Amino acid sequence: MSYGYPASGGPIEILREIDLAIESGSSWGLLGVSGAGKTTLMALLAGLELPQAGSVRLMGRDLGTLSDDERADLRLQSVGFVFQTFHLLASLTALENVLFPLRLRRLPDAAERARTALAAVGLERRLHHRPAALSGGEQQRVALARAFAGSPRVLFADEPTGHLDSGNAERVADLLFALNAEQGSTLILATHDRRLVARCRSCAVLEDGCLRVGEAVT
Amino acid sequence: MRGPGRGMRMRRLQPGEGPFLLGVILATAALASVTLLEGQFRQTLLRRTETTFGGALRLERSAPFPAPFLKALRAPSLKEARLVRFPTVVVHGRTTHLVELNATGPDYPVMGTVALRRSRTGRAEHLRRGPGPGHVWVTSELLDALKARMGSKITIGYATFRITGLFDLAPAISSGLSLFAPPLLLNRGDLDRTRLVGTESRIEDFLLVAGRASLLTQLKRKVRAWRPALDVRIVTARETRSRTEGAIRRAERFLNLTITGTLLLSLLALWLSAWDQARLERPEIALLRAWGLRRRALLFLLARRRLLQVGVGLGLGAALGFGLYRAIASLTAVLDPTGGLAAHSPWPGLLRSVAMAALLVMAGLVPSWLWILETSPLENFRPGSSGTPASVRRRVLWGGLALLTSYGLWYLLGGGASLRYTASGLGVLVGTAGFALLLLAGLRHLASRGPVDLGWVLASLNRRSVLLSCTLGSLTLVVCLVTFLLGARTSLFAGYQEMFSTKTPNWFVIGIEPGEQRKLAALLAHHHLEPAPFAPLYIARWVALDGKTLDPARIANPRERFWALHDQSVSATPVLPAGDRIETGRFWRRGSLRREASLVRGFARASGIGLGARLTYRIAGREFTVRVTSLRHVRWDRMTPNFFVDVTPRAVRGLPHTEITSLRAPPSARGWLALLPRRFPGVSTVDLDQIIRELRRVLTRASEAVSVLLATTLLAALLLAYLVVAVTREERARELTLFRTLGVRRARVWVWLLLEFGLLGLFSGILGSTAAWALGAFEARSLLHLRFHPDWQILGLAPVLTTGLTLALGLLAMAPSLWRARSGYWRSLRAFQEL
Repeated sequence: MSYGYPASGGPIEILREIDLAIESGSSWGLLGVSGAGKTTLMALLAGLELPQAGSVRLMGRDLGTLSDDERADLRLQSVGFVFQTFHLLASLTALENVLFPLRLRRLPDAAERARTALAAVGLERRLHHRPAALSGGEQQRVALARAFAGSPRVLFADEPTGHLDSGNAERVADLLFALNAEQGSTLILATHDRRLVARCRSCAVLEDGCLRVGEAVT
Repeated sequence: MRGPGRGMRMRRLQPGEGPFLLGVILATAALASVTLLEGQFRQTLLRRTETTFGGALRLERSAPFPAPFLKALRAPSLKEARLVRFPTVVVHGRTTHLVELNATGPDYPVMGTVALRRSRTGRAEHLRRGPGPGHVWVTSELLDALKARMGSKITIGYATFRITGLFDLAPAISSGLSLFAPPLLLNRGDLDRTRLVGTESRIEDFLLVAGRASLLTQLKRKVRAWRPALDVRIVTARETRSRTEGAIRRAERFLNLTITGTLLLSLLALWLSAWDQARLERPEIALLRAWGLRRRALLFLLARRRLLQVGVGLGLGAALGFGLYRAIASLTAVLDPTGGLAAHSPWPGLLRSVAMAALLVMAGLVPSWLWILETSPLENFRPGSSGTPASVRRRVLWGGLALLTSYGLWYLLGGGASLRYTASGLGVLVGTAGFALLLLAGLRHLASRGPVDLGWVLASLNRRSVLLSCTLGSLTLVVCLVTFLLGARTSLFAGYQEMFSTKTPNWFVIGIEPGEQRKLAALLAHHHLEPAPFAPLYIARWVALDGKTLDPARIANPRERFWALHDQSVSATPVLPAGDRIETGRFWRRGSLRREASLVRGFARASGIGLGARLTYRIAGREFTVRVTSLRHVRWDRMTPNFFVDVTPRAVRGLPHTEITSLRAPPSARGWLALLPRRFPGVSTVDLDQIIRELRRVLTRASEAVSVLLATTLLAALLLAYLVVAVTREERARELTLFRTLGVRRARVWVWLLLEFGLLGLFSGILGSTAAWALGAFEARSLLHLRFHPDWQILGLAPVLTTGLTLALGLLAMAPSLWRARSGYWRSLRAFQEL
C-alpha cells in the first residue's frame, strides 16, 4: 500500500509500496526517526485512514471494502489504541475515560474491568480525577488502561512509554507484553525505544517511506 | 524580547480569531443600528409631540408676561412665539358663539405647521404662520355654528374680521375637548383693536420656545429666577397631558426595553467571544511568560495586537450598523422629513455605540488576560485547566467590575438603556446561571449512572459548569427577551387596534343640558348612532384642601396654584368608568351615600393631593367637600370622556351641570353632526377625526419602530446563541473525532450532538418562556402601561423554537469541524493536537 496527501507546497508521499503481514497474537515493533511515518502507518493498519493505493486487511477483513461505520464497529469490538498524545476526554474522569468504550460495548463487568485496568497502571488513587488534574505520564497510563481494558484482539500503541519515567515505562512495557502473552492480543507498537522493540517477536524500520521488515535491533 | 512581541503583533488571523472578529463586527452592527434607530424614532416621536405642543418648551402665565421678563429671556439662537388665549364671544349677524380666541404673533409657530384649507372642500396647505392682520381662521364647526361662510365678516369685541381660512390642526392650539368653545386664530397685532384685553384681564399668555437643549436649560434657569414674583409655569412637551402621550410613552418604553435587550445581548455576545478568544491565547502567552517576558509588557503587547483587530471590527461593525439603519429606515419610511431628520445627527449615536462596543470587548478581554497572566505558565499549557479557585474568583470579579464600568460609562455617554431594565435582565441571567449550577450538581450523579448515551450528554453538558451556566443564562435571557418583546408587541398592537377599531369614538358632543339628554339620545338613535354613556360635567373651582382655604398667592406648588386659579371639569359616576383602573385605594360601590372622590394618579401627585385628602369645590356659589378614596389610571387614548376628578353622584346632587358624550359616526354624518348645535342650542360638537389621524400617524411610526427594532434584537439574539454554541466548538469537534476513532458509529455521534444541543435549547426555552411570562404578568403594566395579553402560542412555541434554533445553530457552528472530521480522523486529531 501507499499513502500521501496533497499539501500547499506539493503532494507529500509518506508511505511507499508497503508490504507487510503481522501474525495474529504476535508482537510487532516499528522503529523510525521522527516524521518517518510510524504513526500514519499505525493509523492505516487500525483503519483510521485508508491508503491511496493497495489495501489493508485487519483480522481477515479488507478495510477498504468496509463502510465507515463497519470499520468503526470493528475498532470498537476488536481494537485498542494508545495515542501518542493520549486524547483523553477532558470532561470525564480517569475512570469514566476507561469506562466509556466498555459501556459502549455494553460489557456487563465494565466497571470492574475499568478499575482493574487503572490499578494495573498504578492509578487506583486517581480514579476520579479529570485529565487536567493528571500529569502527562498519568494521562498516558489512563490512555493505556482505556486501550487494554476491553481485552482487544489487536492493540496499537504509539510511543506508549514516551512520557513515562524509566520505572513506569518498564511497568507499562511489562503490562503490554503480558497482555500479548496471556490474552493472545496482537501487539503493534511504534517507538524510538530500541529496548522496547527488542522485546517484540518481530520488528521493522521505517525510513524514507519504505519499510525494512526484520531489520536487526541493536 | 522584541522578536516575539513583533511576531505577535504582525501575525495574520489565526484559527478561532475569525469568529471573534465576526462577533465584534456583528455585535457592534446590532448595537449601532438599534441605537441609531431608537434615537431616530425617539427624536421623531418627540418632535411630533413638540409640533403638536407648539414648541420644545412652553411658558404659561394667567396674565400677560411683563415686557422686562420677555426681554430678559431673549437669546439670539432661541426661537420664540407668543400666544395669547382667552374665551370670548364672536358675533356673526344675529348668531353668537363662545370661542377660544388664540392671538398669534409673527413668529408663530416655532415648530410644526398650521393645516389650513381655503374652502370647505379644498386641500389642506401647511403654513408656518398665523393669520394676517384683519383675518381670522376658524374651525369648520365654528363656521357652521355661526352660520357663516368663507369670507364672512365676524365681530370680536369692537373689531371686525374676515374669515379667510379653516384650520384642522394648529400647533399649541387646544383641541377644544375641555373648553366647550371651538378655537379661533387671530393676529396678535389686532388684539388692541378688540379692546378685550386690559392690564387686569384674565387671559392665558403663552411663550412657545424652541432651540438647543443647552439654551433651553439656560432659559429655564432665568425663568426660575423670576418665578416667585411672576407665577410663570414651565411646561415641556413631555409633561403635557395630551391624548397621544400615553401611546407615545408606551412606545418609548418599548423602545427603551428593546435597546436594553440589544445592549445586554451584544454585551454577552462580545464578552463571550472575547473570553473564548483569550482562551485560545493561553499557550502562546504561557510560552512568552516562560521565555521571561514581563507581565506588564505582555499585557501591553496583547492590547496592541488586539487594537488593530478590534479597531477593524468596530469600524466594519459601525459601517454595517449605519448601513442597516439607513436601509431599514428608508424601507419602512420611518424617517419623517418633518419629524426632525435634518436636526438628528447620527454621529453621537454611532460614536456612543462604537465606544460601548469597544468597552465591552475590553471588558471581556482584559480580565481574561489578567487571569491568564496570573495563572502559572505550566497551568496555561494545559488546555483543560481552569486555574485555582482564587484566580477564577478574581477573574469573575475583574470581569464584573469591567462590565459595571462599561455600563456606567455608557450611561454617562447618554446611552438609551434603562438601569431598571438592565438590572432585570441581569437578574434573569444571574438567576438562571445559579439555577443551572444547582442543576449541574444533580446531573453529576446521574451522568455516571444512566445509559452511556445520556451519561455522555450529561457529562458533556457538565464539561465546564461555569461556562454552561453562562450559556444557559444567556440563552434563557435571549428567549425571555424575545418572547417578552413579541408578547409586548402583541399587547401594544392590540391596544392600538382597540384605539383605532371601528368602534372608537370620533366625535364628542358637549354642553348637553340634562333636559335635552333623552331627546338627543333619541335623535342619535334615529340616525343609527350609538353614543357612549352620558357623563355629567360640573365646572367647579377648587377652594379648600383639608379644610384650609386655598390662597393662590401662598401656594408653592405650581400645579396646585393653577387649579386654585382655574375652573376644573369634575364628573360624577356611580361606577368605575370602563377602561379606568384603580391604582391605590378602593372605588365606591354603586349607590354609595358617601361623599368621595377618585383622582387620576398623575394629576393628584402633581397637585400634591394624597389619598384621604379632603377637597372642597365651589359650583355656582355652592360648596361641597369630598374625601379622596382612590387614585386611578386612565386610558386617555380611548377617546371617551375622561376626567381628572370623579365624585360620587351623592356629592354633587342638585348642582348645575351639563352632559358630555362621545360617539362613532361615519363620514356621511359629518355635516349632520356639525349642524347639531342648531337644534340643541348650547351643544357643541367636536370632530376627533383629525386628532385620530394624527395619532394614527404617530403610532404607525411607533409600530414600525417596534417591529424593526425587534428584528434587529432578534439578529443580536441569534448572534449570541451562535456564539454560546461556538465557544466550545473546537473541544466538541476534537471529541467527535475521537469518538469515531474509538469506534462510535456516526449516527450515534449525531444523536449525542443533537441530544446535547436539544437539551440545552429545550431547557433554556422553558426557563426563558417562564421568565417572559412572569415578566409580562408582573411588569408589563408598570413598564408599558398596558394590560399584558400573554400570547400562549408564542409562550408555548418558544421552547420548541429554541430547541430547533439551538440545534440548527449548534450544527451550523459545528459544521466546519464535522466536515473536517469526515476527511480523515487521524489527520483531524493531529490538527487538534497542533491547536
